Amino acid sequence: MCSLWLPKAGNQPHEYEDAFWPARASNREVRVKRFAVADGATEASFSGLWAQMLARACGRGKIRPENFFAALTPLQDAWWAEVGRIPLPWYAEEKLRSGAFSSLLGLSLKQRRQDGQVAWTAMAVGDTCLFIVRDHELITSFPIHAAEAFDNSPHLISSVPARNLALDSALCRESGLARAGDRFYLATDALACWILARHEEGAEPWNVLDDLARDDCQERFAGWMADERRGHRIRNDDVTLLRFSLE
Amino acid sequence: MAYTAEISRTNPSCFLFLIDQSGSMDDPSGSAESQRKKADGVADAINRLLQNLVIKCAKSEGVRDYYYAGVIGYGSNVGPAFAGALAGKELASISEIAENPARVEERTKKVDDGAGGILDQTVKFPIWFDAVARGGTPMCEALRRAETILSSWVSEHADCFPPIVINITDGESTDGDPSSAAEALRRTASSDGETLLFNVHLSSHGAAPIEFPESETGLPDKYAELLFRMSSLLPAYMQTAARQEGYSVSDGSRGFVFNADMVSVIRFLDIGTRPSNLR
Repeated sequence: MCSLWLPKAGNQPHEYEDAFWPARASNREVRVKRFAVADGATEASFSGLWAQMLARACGRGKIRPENFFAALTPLQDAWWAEVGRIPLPWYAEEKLRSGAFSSLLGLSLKQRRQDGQVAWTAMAVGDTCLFIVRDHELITSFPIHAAEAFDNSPHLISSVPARNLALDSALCRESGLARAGDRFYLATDALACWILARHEEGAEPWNVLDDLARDDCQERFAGWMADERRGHRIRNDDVTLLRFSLE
Repeated sequence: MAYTAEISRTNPSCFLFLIDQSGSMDDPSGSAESQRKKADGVADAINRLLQNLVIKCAKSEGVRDYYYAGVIGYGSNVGPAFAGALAGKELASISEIAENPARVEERTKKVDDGAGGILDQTVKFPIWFDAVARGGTPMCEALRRAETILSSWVSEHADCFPPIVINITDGESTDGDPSSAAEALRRTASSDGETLLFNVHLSSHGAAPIEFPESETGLPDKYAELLFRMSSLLPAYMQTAARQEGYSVSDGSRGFVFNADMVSVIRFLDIGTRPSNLR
């Protein structure tokens, strides 16, 4: 697995508000492999912390589609406990009332006992996307299928329960069977939109991403991203990519 | 395409509020449920706009200077109208504004309790601007002053998202027809487009609120019609944001409201992902 990430141009690394799980590749044999990517909303405060909490909990199997809403409660309590530790100025206190917001994409892969095939299950709220490429063909684009579907106001998971009343309809699920050689890409919205736009033009964005992932080099990724941003081919935003292929 | 520049700390934008402080603002507002003076309504409106702008730019580590803002009052004279430590400043960074309200009051507001009920919640209400009602309504001079301030701003921030001016008035200019001064102000442009001039008309007329109309038809008086004509068209990105919030707007909609506030415009500003469930 390769993870590449970058803050929005003009921001410092500590201002990066995406989050991903696992932090690094592991060779440990486990029955279920889990991956998660979350994208904290710029317009809320402490969204980076909220995104980290969501990605970690999802990556550890604590948030699953079947327990999704119940699993948020302890995380929301933990978020409020963390942000309430220190006194805040009036504006930060007022902003806190709105809560933090984040997307979440969770992916789990499990080998089936009956036939040895690998089954994958994904869940998502918001615009962080999963792409699965088999040979040279995009076989899954989840939960967004077209570049034009991205906008600046997705429905996200809030740390305030009252803002999650319509979350049920925003929770998307998808599942399928994977084959050896399938390539998986988990990307936050700016990169996901770039991927779909290039794909819609008939290009194979996977080749570019595979090339960058092969090096696993943040500096090279940063250089490439700076070019794309300068050319206005990708929106200036925090960017995260998790990429792996099935052995 | 105009109005697409990124607003960031390295490329900030500018907000300028023009506040009618004339003697006629001592009259009661047109709101049916209230006999409050228009001047008090204006003070609340400007303090709420500044508060919302500060909160919009607040992050975990503090306030990011995406904007500079100023308040110009016009009544017995025309000039900067911040109270407290910012008194005399034409423009201040939004973090400076956040740190320097003249005072912070507490008010009660009704909020959804998340379980179908309504709760009273005590909230902090910072005050940068106090109600004043004295003298005439030199709107032309105020618009010219704004043009001077913003000409200097755009010469130093040539590629910024264009400045936004919100003029809050009861509509009756006493130093002539403000149309040409308004046009000159709108022409003050960065490489990303002309200055956006929006008008808030607070009237003693008891007519129903009107928000972002697309024509003069149905406006209650000649002052409302004049302010409508002086107002900029809502740029495409604001139309999209307004529609997402349930406003009925078109390409002809202008940044004009009658007996209503304009806090929604702060929500329309694009500084990054704004969740649809954050309202």
